[in-house]
Amino acid sequence: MSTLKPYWAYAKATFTVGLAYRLHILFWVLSDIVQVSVLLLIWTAIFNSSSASTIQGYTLGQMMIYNLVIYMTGSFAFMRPLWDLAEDHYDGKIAMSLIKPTKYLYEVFFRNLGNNFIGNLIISLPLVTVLVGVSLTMNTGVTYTVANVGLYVVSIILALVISFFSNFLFATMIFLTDATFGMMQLNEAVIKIFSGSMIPLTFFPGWLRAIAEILPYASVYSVPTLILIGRLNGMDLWSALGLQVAWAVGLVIVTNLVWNRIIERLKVHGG
Amino acid sequence: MIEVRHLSKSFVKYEKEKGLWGMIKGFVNAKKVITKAVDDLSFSIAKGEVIGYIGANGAGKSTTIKMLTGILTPSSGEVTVDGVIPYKDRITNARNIGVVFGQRTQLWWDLPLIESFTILKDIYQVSDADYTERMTLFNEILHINEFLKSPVRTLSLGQRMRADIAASLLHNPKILYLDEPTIGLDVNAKKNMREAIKKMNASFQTTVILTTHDLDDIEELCQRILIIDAGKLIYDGALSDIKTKYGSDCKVSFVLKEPWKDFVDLAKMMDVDPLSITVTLNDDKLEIGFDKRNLSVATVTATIMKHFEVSDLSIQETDIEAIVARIYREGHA
Repeated sequence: MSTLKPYWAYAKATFTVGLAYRLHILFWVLSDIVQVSVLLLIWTAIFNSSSASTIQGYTLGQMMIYNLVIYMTGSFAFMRPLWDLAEDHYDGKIAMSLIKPTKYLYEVFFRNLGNNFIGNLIISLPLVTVLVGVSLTMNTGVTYTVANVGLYVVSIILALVISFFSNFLFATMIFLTDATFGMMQLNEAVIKIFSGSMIPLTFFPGWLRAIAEILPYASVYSVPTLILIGRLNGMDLWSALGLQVAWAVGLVIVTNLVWNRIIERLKVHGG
Repeated sequence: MIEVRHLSKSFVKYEKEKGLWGMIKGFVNAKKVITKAVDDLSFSIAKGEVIGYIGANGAGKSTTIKMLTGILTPSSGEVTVDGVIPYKDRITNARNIGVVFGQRTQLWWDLPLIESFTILKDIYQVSDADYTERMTLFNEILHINEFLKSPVRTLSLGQRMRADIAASLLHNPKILYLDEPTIGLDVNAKKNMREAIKKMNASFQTTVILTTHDLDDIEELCQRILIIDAGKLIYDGALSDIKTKYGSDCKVSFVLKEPWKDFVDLAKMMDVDPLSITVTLNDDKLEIGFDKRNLSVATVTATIMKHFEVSDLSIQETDIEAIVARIYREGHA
């Protein structure tokens, strides 16, 4: 693993930088608590205003679990290389990366990994506490088997790779267009809709659900979440994991190809 | 060490017209403009040389450095740096070079300085023994220990530049690119920086390529200079040569006690061709410009003082700054 050693240094660096800002972390946790609380309140309101006790196969307790788990999954797996690329490109900082004996693509991957470690440390603890609380107090009928937890870990690792490379590929558009902000907004919107993080994909009409499930965003959020809460089983489980592997491999190859082309026509801003 | 053959780089820019309507028009159909930042550049640099690479703003210096460091791909021509083509094998090239861009930093802004060194140690895979040895040396030359524990964002510009130079040398590169390393530094900090560069060059035999607008840097550090203008190399040679070629211009200014009224033929008095000297008179101020190869300062002052009462005089020899300004103006050397 000696070839990876230089890259871990980038992860260590962002991790250390993250820890250096204690106030930032405090607000981060607060904003997460607010966001999750709002989601739970909205679903409670929806269920209370409905006469049915289950909506699209979810009870209120299950819907709460779904939201908590998908939020946690996002904090484990979602990466924002778009942010790195925008910043590095905007002020020409990328020049400092290109003079290092490491590949920029993987430098950014490990930078994000360091960031995600911070996210996991901070967000997982309160989330897991609430998750355990909800599971114990509400009779949700969700059980976490050892097999599901194991597969969840595997699925999360694949989700990390898919998340990073799909967002990186998207971010490369920035280099071609110089339209950072619009690109970011577009990316976030697409992810929110198609990942299942706003509402479970089962709520979509059949044709839209079919599209969403094939897109990589579902592989990042929805698939690991459904695995952990035991809603993906049998053939569906293996085909979802298979699709994750296909996306991961495909995106790694395509992103490398595209990025190598872009490096050749790179414009570096500033003197 | 460095070979550059017929190197060129052009950029495509999209030009937009002025005003709101121009912006809208540009949004739909922008005019494509191709500019040549570097135009058919050739030179070679040997191991251990300290080269001054100078040129006016926008002359193409940074673009050249970016091609040498592998950041930019040339449009045409060849570059090899220690046998490596930088843009084709960027990672091997990166191990051979150290780069300091005066306007940027490679240090981690939010972390104590020492962390940047340990991170770079891992990135370049420097052994513990080498690391300790080099850090000791850096401290001797650059005195970085005093602020090693401070976050980089709290360092003064002079401290940060010293730290950046140390950071760029941690992996003991064969070539060091310094892009305006003394920009914004005060007189003392500049002096220390130059000392440090000299010592580094001497102790490691590092080849140094220095771009700068500060001609004192050049005079202190460089045996050889390359001057670039509008992307073309207009001078490649020893600093001393350029000084002998252009440095013979001299100007003596006198302040006369009484304004000069009658006509006096100075050229005849000094026994030179009238076209070889310039005389400007402004009330009581008299300036005589001449070439030291034709006329000595002694003759000029003696002649004037014989005919006029002089209250003050000063002699201005051409400094490197004036020479370079003249070369930029004329566009060739």
